[in-house]
Amino acid sequence: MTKRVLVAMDSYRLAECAVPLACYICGVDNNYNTELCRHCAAPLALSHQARTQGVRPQMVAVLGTAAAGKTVYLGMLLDMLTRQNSRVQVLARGAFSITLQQRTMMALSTCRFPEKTPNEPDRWNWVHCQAKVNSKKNAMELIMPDMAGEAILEEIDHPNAYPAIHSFLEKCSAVILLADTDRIERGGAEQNYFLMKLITYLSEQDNRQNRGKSTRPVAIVFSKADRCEPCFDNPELYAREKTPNLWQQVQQRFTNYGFFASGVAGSVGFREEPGEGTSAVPLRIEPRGIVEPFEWLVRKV
Amino acid sequence: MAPLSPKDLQVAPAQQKQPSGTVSVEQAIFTSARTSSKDGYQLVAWSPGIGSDDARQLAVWGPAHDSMIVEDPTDVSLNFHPLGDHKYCISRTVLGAAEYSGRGGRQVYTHCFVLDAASFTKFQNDPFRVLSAALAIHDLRPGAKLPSDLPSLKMLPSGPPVDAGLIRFFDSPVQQQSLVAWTHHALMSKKLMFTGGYNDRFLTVFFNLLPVSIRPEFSFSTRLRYSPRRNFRLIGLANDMEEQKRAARQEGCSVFQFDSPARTPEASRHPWATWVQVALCHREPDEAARLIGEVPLTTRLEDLSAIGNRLRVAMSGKRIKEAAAAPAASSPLVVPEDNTDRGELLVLVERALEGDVTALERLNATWCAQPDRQLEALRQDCARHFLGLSRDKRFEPGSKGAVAVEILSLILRVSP
Repeated sequence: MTKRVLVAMDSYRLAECAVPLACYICGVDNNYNTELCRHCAAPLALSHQARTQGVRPQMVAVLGTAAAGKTVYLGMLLDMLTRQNSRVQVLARGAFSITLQQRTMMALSTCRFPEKTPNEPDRWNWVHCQAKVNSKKNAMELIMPDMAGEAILEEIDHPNAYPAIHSFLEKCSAVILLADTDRIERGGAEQNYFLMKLITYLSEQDNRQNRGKSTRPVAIVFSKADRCEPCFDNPELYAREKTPNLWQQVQQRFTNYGFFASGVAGSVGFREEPGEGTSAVPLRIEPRGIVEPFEWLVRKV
Repeated sequence: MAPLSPKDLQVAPAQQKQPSGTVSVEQAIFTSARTSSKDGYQLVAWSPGIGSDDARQLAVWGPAHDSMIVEDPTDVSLNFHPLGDHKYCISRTVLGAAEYSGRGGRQVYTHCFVLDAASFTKFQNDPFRVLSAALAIHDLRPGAKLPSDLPSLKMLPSGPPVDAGLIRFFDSPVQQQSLVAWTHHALMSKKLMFTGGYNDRFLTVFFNLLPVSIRPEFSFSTRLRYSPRRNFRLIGLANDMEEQKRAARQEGCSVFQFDSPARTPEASRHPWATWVQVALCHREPDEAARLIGEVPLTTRLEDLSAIGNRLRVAMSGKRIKEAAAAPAASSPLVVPEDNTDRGELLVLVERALEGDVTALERLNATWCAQPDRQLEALRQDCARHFLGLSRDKRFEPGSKGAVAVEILSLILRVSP
């Protein structure tokens, strides 16, 4: 007599792969095994990670012009927060989240700044991490990409040029805006205009949903502030004096905002190599004001 | 009298007379620089015919930092892609001076040439002809100082649709086999990455052997890192293993290795690839060039299989006629194969009618040389069998069966 038994249909396991996986950033359906979203080129590892977590990750954007210091700021921030930190603790989710930190620290340790971030979204570094502020009960899941400055500007000038940025900025809960202090000190007005454009873009995105000022927390960080000591003393006063239009726009359009100053390299030299041109060399690494804007944002979100 | 509008009051631009036969080609430079409007990768200079839409598209397709696979200032990447619905861009990318921001690495410098569909047709839709013309009149290397504006270029297209000299160039069997396999994969894949020891000559000959109307379908890039943002159809990667692995993981991409090209059995090979083999091996480049050049400009990619079969048969038919006209003494002695019996040939006719390309090949090989009394009798038997079979069957025009009937009627010299 044959006993009745249940035999698992192995082929049925493939059914999981037939179910589409929605991109966490743009929401477009993709094949389950694909690496990058076919629409916005964001890594689908974010969607896989998000599915396994009980909480939906929040998104934090770090924006600034090309060479404003986004990669160095994010890389240094993650490196500092993944060490023992009394105020904020960060735990990376997924091996891909370590790459940005690794690249930045490897470059700085060899007296180099990390190379320019490519414009192609498929080559950006994305960070998915868990952040825990001491005063808060629950930890937060955060997604932070390191995007190219040109791509951000292109998206602002021509919406939907970069679907990843478009969707990300629409969904992000908080924004860190980096202003290059070095260029402001040299008298350039482009930082002022770029950040004004961004402020307008972000507030208009929020205004589509509700009239009035935007409640999305925005931290305006003067990067490379080591080249201007007064900026560290009072970043808001610095903003009022050096970037008055930006200061005015922020006041008028946002309720949750803060001005900060940060610096990674204590001193920068320049090396001239025949045939290679001039390259900037960080002479010593002296991070200042890196954690404060992030901590402020995490508390506000 | 109607009042003048502000437009009427504007000074009309001076009309420049275009020399006869020349084509207007717009140009633009995409690279990394600090300009008054923006920092980083942008169009730094462009000619007056580049509109804002074109500029936006060029910024999307333009390769930015670290896009060249090989960090060698002498390395050149050639690219071709559509620009909107009615324009095409042919570009040449090299590494330029150091990145302006002092963060290490060199700027990626791309010189783009943009022309509309009508102008491109004058270049026989061949991107390499546009590049050759541009190189003849322009130094495409990055200068010490970036230009701020560029003039529209006047280029003189020349040459027949197909250059017989390029076919003659591919005379080594290894090269020919690689090109045939490559053609098959290029035609069968929606996105094909190619790796290994290829050179731009393969692409040049590939384009040369395509009908003119089909050529714009094959956008390509060489020696650039793969990015889904740049939607090229043919993507040439260098011998960088990491880059190859990264690219191969992308959805819907096939890979072709020039160092060890995967041979495709004739039966499953794309008929146009088989025609390319015939064109390369028959050592009659002028005839092959003439036949491809005569393919109508309305031909679509879907028609390529049928046309490939037709050209192959036409080429073989010509050889048969020439062999028949040649004196018997100079013709090679034809000995029917030992296994060529009547029954087998009749089965081959049946298989050929079902669309078996191998059967068609064998039948074609049987009667392609000098006529022989025994073979002639077999041909008549096969022709009768073919007529009998084709009478019972009805094929849709353009179907595999209909093409098989057409080819068989040429081989067996009967019309059903």
